[in-house]
Amino acid sequence: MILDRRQSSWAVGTSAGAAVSLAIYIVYVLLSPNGARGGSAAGLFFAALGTGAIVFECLLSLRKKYPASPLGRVKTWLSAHVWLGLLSFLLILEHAGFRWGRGLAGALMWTFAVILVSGIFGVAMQNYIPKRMTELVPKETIYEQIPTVVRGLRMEADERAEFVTADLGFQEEDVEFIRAGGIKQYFDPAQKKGAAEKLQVFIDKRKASPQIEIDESARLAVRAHYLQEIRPFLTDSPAPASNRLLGSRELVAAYFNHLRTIMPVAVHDVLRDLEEITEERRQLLVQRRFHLWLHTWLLVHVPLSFAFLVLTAVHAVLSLRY
Amino acid sequence: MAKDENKPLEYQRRLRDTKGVAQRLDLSYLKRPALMALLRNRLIWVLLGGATLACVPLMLGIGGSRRSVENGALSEAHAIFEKRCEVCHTQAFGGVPDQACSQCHDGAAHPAKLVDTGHAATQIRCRQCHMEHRGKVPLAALTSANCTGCHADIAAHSTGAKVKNVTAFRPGRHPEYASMMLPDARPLRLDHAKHMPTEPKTIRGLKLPVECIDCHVTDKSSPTNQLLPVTFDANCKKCHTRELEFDIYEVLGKSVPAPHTKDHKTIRPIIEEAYRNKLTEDPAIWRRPLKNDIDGQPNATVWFEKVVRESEQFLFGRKCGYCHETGGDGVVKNVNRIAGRYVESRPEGALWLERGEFSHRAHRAVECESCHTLARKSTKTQDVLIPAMKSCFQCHGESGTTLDECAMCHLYHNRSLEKEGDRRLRQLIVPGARL
Repeated sequence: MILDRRQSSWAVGTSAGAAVSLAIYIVYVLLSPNGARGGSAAGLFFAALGTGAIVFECLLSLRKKYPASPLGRVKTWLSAHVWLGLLSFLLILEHAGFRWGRGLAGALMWTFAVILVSGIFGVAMQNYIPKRMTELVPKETIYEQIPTVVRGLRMEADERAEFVTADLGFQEEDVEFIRAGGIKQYFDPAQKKGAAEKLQVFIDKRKASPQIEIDESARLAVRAHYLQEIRPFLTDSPAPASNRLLGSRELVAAYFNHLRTIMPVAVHDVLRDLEEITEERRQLLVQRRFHLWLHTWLLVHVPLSFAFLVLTAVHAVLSLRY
Repeated sequence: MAKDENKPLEYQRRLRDTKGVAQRLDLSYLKRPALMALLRNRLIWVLLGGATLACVPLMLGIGGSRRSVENGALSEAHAIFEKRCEVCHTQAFGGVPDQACSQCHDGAAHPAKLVDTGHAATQIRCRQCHMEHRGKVPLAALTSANCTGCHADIAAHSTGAKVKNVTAFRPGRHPEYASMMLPDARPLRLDHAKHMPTEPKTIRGLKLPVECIDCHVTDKSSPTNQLLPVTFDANCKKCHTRELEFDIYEVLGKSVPAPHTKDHKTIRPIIEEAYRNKLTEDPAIWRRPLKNDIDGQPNATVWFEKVVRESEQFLFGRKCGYCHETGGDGVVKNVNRIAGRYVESRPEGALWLERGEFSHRAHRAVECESCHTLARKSTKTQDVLIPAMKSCFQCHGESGTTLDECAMCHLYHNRSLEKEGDRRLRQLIVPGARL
């Protein structure tokens, strides 16, 4: 949920609700000889309002499971989830007389606080990270596709390097999957077979001998740089040493500028392609990091919310019982 | 053909077009659950299960788990029931009933003082005022709002109450102490001003002014250090022994004080014995004229009767009247040994503060005269020297502490009406104990 002017009505509504509830609370405290108590009529009123809001908060998960439901837009539900969540915490504090409590009540307050803080953190992340992602990760992809894309980048880099070094000895297992973006169809099996054979001839020739003529020492240098520094960075989980070498846009640019300085001009195109691939890989690492920031809080927020709901029900029953 | 085979492959720059990017993606990823979502769902079930399992002992009250439902520790007085919720929580979903409290606190009624006869118009529940589970806070330490809820408009909340409305202990919001308006017709001629003159002087060997505590001694055995009654023997005798001397003709030759009692029958034998002893000692004394007489008495019997009669008249007619008020018949009026207010019809006397409690001990750091401001100027016993309410406002009323609360000076329950003989308390504390 992006906090912009479209949220102003929610903000105003929540503030008004908070102000009204605080006004009621102040009157209630002034009229109560012994101060606020959760078990008083007003305390139970705040508890009922707060619990109602909390139950509604938890219904967001259900609403998301049925996106075509006619019960309002998910976006509206999300706004209500965020703003009512803030209001519900105030209502529960008013229910508790702004005391933290102990035992089950204290555990509930701590849980609620963690849920609230994680939610606020999530909203903050949702407002900050997408903007930063647009700036820092222009080559972002679908998060779940990162391993597939990295594998493709690795294979592509191997191919580019083999133009200079010939066969590098890597044999990536070709994984069959349903590709997006369409695929060239061959209705004639012979034609399909012919295309495959043609491609295989091309690969064999590339692997058999270097296709770009340079000094042997330069060729060995390219091979060494590729195998020891570039390709480790293209693995699924680059080692810290690779991250230190190629961990930022400036480091990647500097590294390949240096390579182009010391290598013959004939391999500069290959190096430029390897630089693009490395840069894309680096961006995917940044994307992964951002993704974790953007979604890890949900591992705290959502499960705790459901546990909180169960404990709230028990708290309500036992408190009313006694 | 062979020439083409030897020709190196042409290197083409990488082209990152939309189609190429799209073709890298595996469309089947939508069918596979995302790792985060999978982890989240599993965590939901784990925590749901954990919370439910944790609630089972709570709901069943297994072990000490029910204590975790408590909102706070019990007060010190009830700490013994910390693990026995059922002693007070005798019914479900209804709060603690009054009957649970009256198991131990039976009969304590409001108003606390018998001088008040009003009663609350509606039944006040114990838990309305006494909030448990607030830690080590005395249950009787209530805020004034508990009292002013009714006493701000006492007529609307009670039947038969004669007290005035109170909204706080502040000027104009609390009536002046009734003691200020009560008379103190104690039949004595006590002059505080003479005992505490402005200029120091010595009378009969006693250096004046005396200090308050020279006469008004606190009772160390009393928890509130109430004042002991001022008595002749304890406080006056040292200087006022001469007021007990009956030897009107000064024939005894030495100071012989009568005992400090108003009983003729007790004093007369002592006077007679003193003169009889003198006669034995000096058999011719009756021949000598008494004071301004020209001649002596005709015989010893006449002399004896005269000195005894006139000594008795002198003692009861003039000497006692130095301090005591006497009636027209010369009989000393009853004073009684009381520290409080004098009431002729009540030998035990009466409290100055009929509705409030006062602790001299709590005020021991304060100079007596900072409250009893009129003591040094008082010349009559009838002067009421109980401090006016304004002297309390120096510390009470607007301090913002518990010093301002009603409960600081007033009791709510008349504890004397509690049925202390009830042994059910023992059974509550020791389950299974015989009544």
